[in-house]
Amino acid sequence: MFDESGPIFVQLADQIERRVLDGTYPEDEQVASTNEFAAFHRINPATAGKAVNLLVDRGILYKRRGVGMFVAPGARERLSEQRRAAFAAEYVRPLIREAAALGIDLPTLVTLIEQERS
Amino acid sequence: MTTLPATDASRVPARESSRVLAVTRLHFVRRLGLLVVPLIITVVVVLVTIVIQIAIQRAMAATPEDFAPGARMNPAVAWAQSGYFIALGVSTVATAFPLAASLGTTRRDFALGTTLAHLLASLYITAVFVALLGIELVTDHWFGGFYVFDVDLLGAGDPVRFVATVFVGSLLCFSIGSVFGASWLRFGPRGPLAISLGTALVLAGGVLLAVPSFGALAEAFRPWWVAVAAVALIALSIGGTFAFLRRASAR
Amino acid sequence: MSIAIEITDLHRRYGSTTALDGVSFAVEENTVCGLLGRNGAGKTTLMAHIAGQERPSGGAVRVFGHDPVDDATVLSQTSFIRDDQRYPDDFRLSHLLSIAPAFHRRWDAGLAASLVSDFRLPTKLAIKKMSRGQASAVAIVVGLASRAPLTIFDEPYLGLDATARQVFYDRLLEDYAEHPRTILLSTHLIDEMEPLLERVVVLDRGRVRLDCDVDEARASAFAVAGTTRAVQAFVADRRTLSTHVIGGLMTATVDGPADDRVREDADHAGVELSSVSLQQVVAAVGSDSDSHAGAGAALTAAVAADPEGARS
Repeated sequence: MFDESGPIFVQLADQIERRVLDGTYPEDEQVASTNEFAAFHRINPATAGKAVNLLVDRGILYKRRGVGMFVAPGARERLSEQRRAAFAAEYVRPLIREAAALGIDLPTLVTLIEQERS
Repeated sequence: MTTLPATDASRVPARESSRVLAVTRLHFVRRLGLLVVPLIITVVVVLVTIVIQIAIQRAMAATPEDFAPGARMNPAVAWAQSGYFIALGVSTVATAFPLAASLGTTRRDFALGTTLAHLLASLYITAVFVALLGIELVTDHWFGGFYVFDVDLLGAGDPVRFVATVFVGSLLCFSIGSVFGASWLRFGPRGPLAISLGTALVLAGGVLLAVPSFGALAEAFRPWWVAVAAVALIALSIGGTFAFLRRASAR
Repeated sequence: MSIAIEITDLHRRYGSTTALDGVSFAVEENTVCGLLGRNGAGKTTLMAHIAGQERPSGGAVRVFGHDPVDDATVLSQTSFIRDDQRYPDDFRLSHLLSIAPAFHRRWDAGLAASLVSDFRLPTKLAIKKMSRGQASAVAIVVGLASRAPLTIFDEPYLGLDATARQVFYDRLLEDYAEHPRTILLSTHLIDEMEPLLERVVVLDRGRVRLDCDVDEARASAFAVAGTTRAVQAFVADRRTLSTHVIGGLMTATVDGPADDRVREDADHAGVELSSVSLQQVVAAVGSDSDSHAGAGAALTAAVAADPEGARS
């Protein structure tokens, strides 16, 4: 479930963010506890805790004392914004680089994109 | 992480950390070796002794009165247990120490707990012997004038001497075994070797010194000298066990 | 958080052999710390010192603030079943399970029973007669069910098949989450056990080579791959932890974080960057090539002399 691409807690935080984004974890609803995340992913609770804390810091999750962790209101919007801002660097730039390496010119690239979208 | 409080481990009161009784219980977990086997040995020796004495009586065609003094000298039952108890002394120390160390025991607690186990085992076998002596006396020596427990070595029927001899004797065997076991833990095979050599030297030296005054010593000899010597030897052995265990390896 | 284990300049000599040569590190309470290193690096000796079973030749060991040697308070809260643990003859698992609670006040019989069943352990067989895997499972049962505030596992997975190992990891994490304590374990199965660990200490030849969080350790190095010439150029002024050359291709593990400058240089040099697994970092630390800055240059010379499959 986790690979070598980075610290485990970052990968877990990413996963949770993706689930918030696609609606699997709706806003203001409870998500699994730190221990549950840890047990499910078979990782140390401290690592799961780091992921959760990271998301709390980012305003994606919040804690209700005695109850558990919840998705913060507006988290989806916030995440969309963040990912939109990073979209160019993370996806567009590599796409352009790869196209250039393969000798695909801009018009062809645009056509490909339009084809894929339909 | 979770919100459980961190363990303030250093604040555990001292008496809660004592594992002396735990060690004693550890030795008695294998009840078979410590309690049942001595019982079996005793019963077997009783039976064998009776059988032998039957044979001798028949062969000698003697009356019980003539037979008694000779039979009284038979120390079989005492010696039979000694070897086993010495072996137990060795094994209780040598084989249980690594496990006790892993379960979290100090050497001092292990030595104390083991000594206590030996004391209890000695009490147990004394009780068994007393019961059997009682039966022997009540049944007029096993219904046929057979002397197993009512023997000179064990006090010729005197209950005080009997109890003292059996108890001190058992404890002595355990203690000797345990000091050998502890020396083995500390120094490997060289340990028991060193003790044996050392003991031999001391005995030889003692005999050499005593020879000139042998006559006088024999005159002055009192049975309780043996008791004192035995107790001193027990104390020495237990002390030796503690000393060897202090720096013994827990592997 | 308070410190559970504090080692200061620990030395241990056995005759003319030095097993521990100035080891210093600290472990916080309620963390899982992995002790890594090659065979003979000194892991078991170190753990024996922490468990109070060995006396240092020099330096100090403090567990829960006290010297653990013959300290009843510390020892009553420590569980250390070695990988070569000796048991009395005819001692069975049932005996062990009945006596362990007397030594560990927090013993959980229910947990012990469920672990025994998970590992399919025979309770009536003498432990001395058990297979290596079964003996390891016994050690795990005692280590986990003891709930000792300091629990030490010495290569607990020896002889266990993959399924049993996963059972161990799952149960360890489960119980650790519910009942936090300080856990120290030595292992060679670094990648497999990485998700369990919070902290790693790497020993090599009796010395500490690495002492940090798992994430820090993995971020402390990166891997680079490409043509031999390109990689050589890239590592020329960098410290390499290990290199691997086959024909015209080369990979290297490089010391330091993969920051922006590194990424730029990699782009220019036409080499590929990737992150390293914890296993690679530890293996590089333990390798015999004692690299210093500029090792890249020496390597270049060596490879030039023998371009075909020079492996260091």
